[in-house]
Amino acid sequence: MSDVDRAIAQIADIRAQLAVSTRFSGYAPAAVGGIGVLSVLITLLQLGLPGRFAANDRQFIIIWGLLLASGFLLIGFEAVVRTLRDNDDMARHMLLSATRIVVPSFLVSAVVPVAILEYSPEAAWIVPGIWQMVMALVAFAAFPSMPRKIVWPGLWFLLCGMAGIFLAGHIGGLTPLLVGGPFIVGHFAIAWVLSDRETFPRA
Amino acid sequence: MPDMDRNTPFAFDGLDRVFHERARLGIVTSLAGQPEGLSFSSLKSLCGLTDGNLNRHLAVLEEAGHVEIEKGYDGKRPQTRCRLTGRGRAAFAAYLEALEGVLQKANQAAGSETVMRSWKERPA
Repeated sequence: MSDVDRAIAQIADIRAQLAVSTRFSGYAPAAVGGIGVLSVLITLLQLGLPGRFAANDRQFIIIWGLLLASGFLLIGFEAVVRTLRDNDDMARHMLLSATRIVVPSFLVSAVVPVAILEYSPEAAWIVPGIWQMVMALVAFAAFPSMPRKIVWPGLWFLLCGMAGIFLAGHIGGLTPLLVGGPFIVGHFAIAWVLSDRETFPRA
Repeated sequence: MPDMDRNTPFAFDGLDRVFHERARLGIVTSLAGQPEGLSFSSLKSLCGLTDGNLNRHLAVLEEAGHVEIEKGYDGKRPQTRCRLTGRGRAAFAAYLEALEGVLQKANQAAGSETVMRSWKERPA
């Protein structure tokens, strides 16, 4: 490797650092808010028609899993479109670093419920708590490239995830509010954080 | 602008003079990965500068709008914190892109020189 190649590699490294610590504006608050609205609708349906939409824990997992997966795809698609529209190399670096945080979490959130439903369906009640704690981890990991208020939705999801597991274990199963409540508040809170026009550097 | 780039490929207009100085490049690179900024003393030891030198270079960066300096307290001790502004981040990203372009051109030039040398030194 020549000196020039080494210098180019160092520049790439500095650009990556700059991208990680610069606010990523690819996430659309409207898309996250939309998932919050859908969460309200699902919770109302489950409260109104429990026999049809909240008959057992498996049904909770499938309904909320589909909502969260479609939400992830919608937000991801929106982020890619916004980044490509910017046509900015820096924005692409930032999209890549956001992907490194979100995709592994998404895979864990998808694989764990499938494995639980397949091999240990009686433990399905722990899945929403796991999802919420994974969302908390994503929020904390994204802190350097997000407005600092992102810690509040992160804390909310973390506490709800832990409390949800305790309560579901105590009650002996999932309830619409136990699952829906944290997602409704959490998604609206993230949308509020993303709509913040706070610019770097932070105050 | 693209036409100008084609006509003067070695003008390197993107190399902002504010960043293109060893001490200031060190300061901005140190701040690049720190969204919360760095204290004056950390910056001083990271960049190996004296108080006077660091102050002078920070003033240049602040005047250009690339760095923000905030005086506050860490507990009871007064502390000065320096951060890259949003504008500074964008400008530094553009500078790095331009610098990378320069190095890639140098790499290409070095590559073609090596080919020419090996052509000249080939056995008759």
